[in-house]
Amino acid sequence: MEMNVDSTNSVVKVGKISFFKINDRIDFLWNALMVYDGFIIDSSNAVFIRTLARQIRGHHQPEIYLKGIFLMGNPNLRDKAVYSLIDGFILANEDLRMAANRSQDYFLRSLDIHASVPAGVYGPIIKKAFDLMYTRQNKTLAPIRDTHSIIGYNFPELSVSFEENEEPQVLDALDWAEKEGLIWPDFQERIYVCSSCSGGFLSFREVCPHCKSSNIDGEDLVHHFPCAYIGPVSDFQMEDSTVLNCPKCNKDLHHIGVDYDKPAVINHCNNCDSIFQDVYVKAKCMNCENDMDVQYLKSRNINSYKLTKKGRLAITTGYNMNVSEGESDLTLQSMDTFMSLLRYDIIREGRELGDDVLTGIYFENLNDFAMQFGDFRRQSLIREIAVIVQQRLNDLDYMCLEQSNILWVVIHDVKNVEKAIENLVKEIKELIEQNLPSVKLTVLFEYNHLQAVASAEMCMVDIKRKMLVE
Amino acid sequence: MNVFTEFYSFVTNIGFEKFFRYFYFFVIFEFFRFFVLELFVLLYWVGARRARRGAMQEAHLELMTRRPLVSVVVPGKNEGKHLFKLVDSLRKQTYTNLQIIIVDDGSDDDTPIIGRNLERRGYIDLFLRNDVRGGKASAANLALRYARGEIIVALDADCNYLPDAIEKILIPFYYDKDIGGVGGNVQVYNYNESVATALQAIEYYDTISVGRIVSSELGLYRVISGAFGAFRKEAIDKIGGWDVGPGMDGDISVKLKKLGYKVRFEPSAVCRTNVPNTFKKLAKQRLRWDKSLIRFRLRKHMDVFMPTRAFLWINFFSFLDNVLYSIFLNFKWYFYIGDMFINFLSFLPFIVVTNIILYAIYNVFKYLVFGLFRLRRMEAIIYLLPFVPILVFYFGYFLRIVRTRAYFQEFLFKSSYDDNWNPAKSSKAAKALRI
Repeated sequence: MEMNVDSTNSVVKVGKISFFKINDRIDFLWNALMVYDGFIIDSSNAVFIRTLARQIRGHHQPEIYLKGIFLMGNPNLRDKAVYSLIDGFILANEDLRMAANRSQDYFLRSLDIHASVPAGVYGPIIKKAFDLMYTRQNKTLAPIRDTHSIIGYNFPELSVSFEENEEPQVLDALDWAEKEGLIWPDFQERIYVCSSCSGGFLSFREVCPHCKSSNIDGEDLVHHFPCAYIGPVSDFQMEDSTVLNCPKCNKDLHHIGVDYDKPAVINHCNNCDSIFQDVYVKAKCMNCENDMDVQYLKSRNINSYKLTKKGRLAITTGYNMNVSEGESDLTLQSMDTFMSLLRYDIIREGRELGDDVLTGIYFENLNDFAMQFGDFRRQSLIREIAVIVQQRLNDLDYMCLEQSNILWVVIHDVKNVEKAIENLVKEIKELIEQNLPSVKLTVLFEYNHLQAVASAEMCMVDIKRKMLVE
Repeated sequence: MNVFTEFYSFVTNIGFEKFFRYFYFFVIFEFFRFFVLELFVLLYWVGARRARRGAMQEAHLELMTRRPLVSVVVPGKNEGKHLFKLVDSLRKQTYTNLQIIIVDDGSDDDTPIIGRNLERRGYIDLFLRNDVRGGKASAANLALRYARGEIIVALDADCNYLPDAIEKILIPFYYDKDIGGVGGNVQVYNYNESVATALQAIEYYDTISVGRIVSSELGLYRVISGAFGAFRKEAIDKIGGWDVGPGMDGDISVKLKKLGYKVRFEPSAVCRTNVPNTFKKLAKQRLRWDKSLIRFRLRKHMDVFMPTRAFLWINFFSFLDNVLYSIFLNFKWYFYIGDMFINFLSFLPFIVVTNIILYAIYNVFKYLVFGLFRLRRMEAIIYLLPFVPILVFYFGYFLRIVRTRAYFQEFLFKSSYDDNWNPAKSSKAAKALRI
């Protein structure tokens, strides 16, 4: 890239790449920033840097949050979270070239990103994090210790979308993404959080079991062997001597283990004057002041996460998770509707002795197809497959797609089920061979008679096991 | 002439003078001391108890009106399995203002878990644990250190207590302000488990129930049982609690008496304990008890016989009675056997058999007569009756041999300090100080 730096007030141009330089004295409109290829933060104010970096990464527009952020100079920040949000430092003019190259790279990679957003409340947040990971070629969502976060940990790519006191929701979002099969956890740490506000800053205190006051003092018990007197060490202490003296027999104690020992510890509560050996441990939340027994704390795992194959693919091909492909002209049901209908059929079948079957058709390498030809082609293919299947079905039959690669079909009153499904699969394969000769699609299928099953879920698990394991 | 005819002839022709010569030991030391004298005292006790009834009722009223806090202390090691039952019997007590303290002396079973659980549930007030075993005395002293009651009741965890036991044991403290300690009436719970337990049950009737009524009435009562005893807090604090055992229950009673406190037995405060169910276990227990007699009576508290400032005639006689009947007569019996052997060798088998018959008849007679003064279910009394004739072998031979062995071991080797009932560190320290 040609090095042609043109700095005018707040704009720095490096060749065709332009940066907007922001400091703590400048006002700007967020929408106006979309035209720039990246941002340079020119400040040594750690709070300002952190706030601004979070605002950029937390912005809802990809034209803002995917842009490069570079820090002028190296203010030696202690805040590790900031380092995860910025893309580099500009210490000299030569570093602008690096910044320009990176910004261009981010832009080019952002073109691959699919516009679809995962369904669900955490969908947009997860998408933002995935987009950032994709453009920066990060493969891991890693937690960092952060005292600003109320759980003590921060996932920079996600945490920017929440207020600092909403950090527990980051864990919820990650749990959701894990459940959807987009990310894979790798255990790092287990934390205990407040059962009320999920805050992680807890003050653990030993308290009196009777009045729950933490105003307690512990003392060693001293046992004097010759006379069998036993009491707290203060009973043996004298004002004018450092030597312990037995209050019962008035003898000095000389050697621990020889003439005395310390068999236990005793606690005294200065609040209610009670005596006890076992203290209670309570945890006070520094966020909401809830004071709770430790057994009522919630435990959360802090994991680092890697994108699964499905997650990586979803960034560029779109998110299809257990829902109908959204094609109203197809008879594909949503997973929830399909399950409800299936449960009803199982109950009915149990009473009427019909001949209904649940069939699973597994397209083993459909995701590879999508990677090769894009999401649009994949959706077209699914539509055509669904049409073929639909032609073979009666009006009462129904189907749904799970994880974009298993087609579930309930067929009523089928006589020769094996033959019928074999024909179906044969037609699907022919369709693919005719239209996409370079694609070799592996199709597996299994079925269960509804009459013989205990529940919809068990039936599907059994079919999956037979298809995918056996 | 066969042996039966000879024996018949021996018995019928014996005459009073020869009878006394052959059986003087029985006549003087057994019949007179343990039947005639005790019967007289028991009859006196019946009258005295009637005379005291009004004052005792007033004491009872004072107790139940004022309802002072009473601390129940339970020291023990590996007693977890008994704790729930014990606590249950304490919760059923008619006297309810109790502070219950259980001390676990370094148990290596589930006792800490059970104790903490009872404490957490509020069934007991305080559960204390010494992680390192210190001996029963130190465990009891730890409980005493944190006891807040006006009266301290010391219990064994493996006993159970009649619902009014604690109420009954407390009354004497409000009858006579000079009473420093009261012993409860310990009965055998597992009397029908084996011959050994049945014989011990009869022994407990005799020595612990009736014997202690008599000694208490005479002011000679000297062992407040470790299984069930009550102490005035002020008094037990003055003597510094329990000293290193074994024999700590007898020791603490003597210490109280030396300070001028009265020690009494309360037969209506009933506790039931499980006794050793084999003669082997029983011998081990009795060896420990008998050794402590030498250690405490003849060594540690020998000053009772000395004309010091703390000298009290009542303690002098109490000790004298104890030493005379437990130690002197034990050896005197061997002297008696030797006497018979040397002087009446040809009649020795007849003398021994007659002695056995005499003791068997005497024991049955005494059992029935003294039964009038006992507090026990008729069912148990009838069950034990067939065992009474063989008591002569139990008292006369088994216990005597065990006792003799214990005395020799203690006199010659001070072996009570080697007893693992107490941790070695405590015994070693006590031995060094000769206490």
